[in-house]
Amino acid sequence: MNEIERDLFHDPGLLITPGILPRLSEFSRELPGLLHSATDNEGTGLLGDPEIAPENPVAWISQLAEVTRAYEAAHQLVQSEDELLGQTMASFGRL
Amino acid sequence: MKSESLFDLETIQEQLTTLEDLLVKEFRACQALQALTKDERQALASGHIEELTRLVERKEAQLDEMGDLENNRRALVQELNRSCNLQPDSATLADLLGALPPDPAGRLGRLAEGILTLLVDVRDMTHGNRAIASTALERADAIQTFLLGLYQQQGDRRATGEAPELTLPAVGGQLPRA
Repeated sequence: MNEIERDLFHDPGLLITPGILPRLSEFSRELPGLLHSATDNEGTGLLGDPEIAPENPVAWISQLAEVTRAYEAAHQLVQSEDELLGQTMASFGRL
Repeated sequence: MKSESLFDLETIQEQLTTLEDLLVKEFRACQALQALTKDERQALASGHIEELTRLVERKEAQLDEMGDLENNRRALVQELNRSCNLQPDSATLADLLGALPPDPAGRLGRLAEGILTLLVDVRDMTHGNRAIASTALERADAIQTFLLGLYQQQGDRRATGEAPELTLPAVGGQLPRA
């Protein structure tokens, strides 16, 4: 992660400028299936969170960073879990 | 010599009882992991991030516990194999079961089969969960990259003194749909 990414996703309030806000807001409304709850096309909510409004991109960029971290942690865990389960199964031998 | 054999038998009996207890604990730990993995599937499928984060922490603790139980079992099986004059380096339960009388071998074998059945089920679910997590991660990464692109374009324009452009790039194009 480079410096811009680090700043943007760890402290987005520092980097969101007035010029970019309308673009982000418009973007968030244009892709309801991507950024909003799949069941809510009214433009309220990022990734299923009804409290993150599209008019507040700073909030949903923060939320996006949180979502990414959660999926990364889950993905890493299932990978190591798969290895551990394989070892455990092998330790029983052929019953 | 006779008392030494008796001592060995008592030791083996104690070790077998400990092994059975350990296998019961492993069985319960596998049941707990199975329940957590089912919940993880639901959290991944429905995008409940807070729940997913909580479950990841609980699963890490559960896997640590299972790792400890497995290490204890391996060590004990190795000791038992040694006590029974089997291959001293072998730590598999299967080797041991073949050398035991039918009664304890049957009990331990059924427990081991129950554990393996649970492990196979958990592993199948884990493969599915990995695919879902991977897709969700790619999607989040794609959105993140897109947003970074917006920011960097904005920065470029500021540097050149151009007015910000409000047309949307790549909408419905390169980005994956949810």
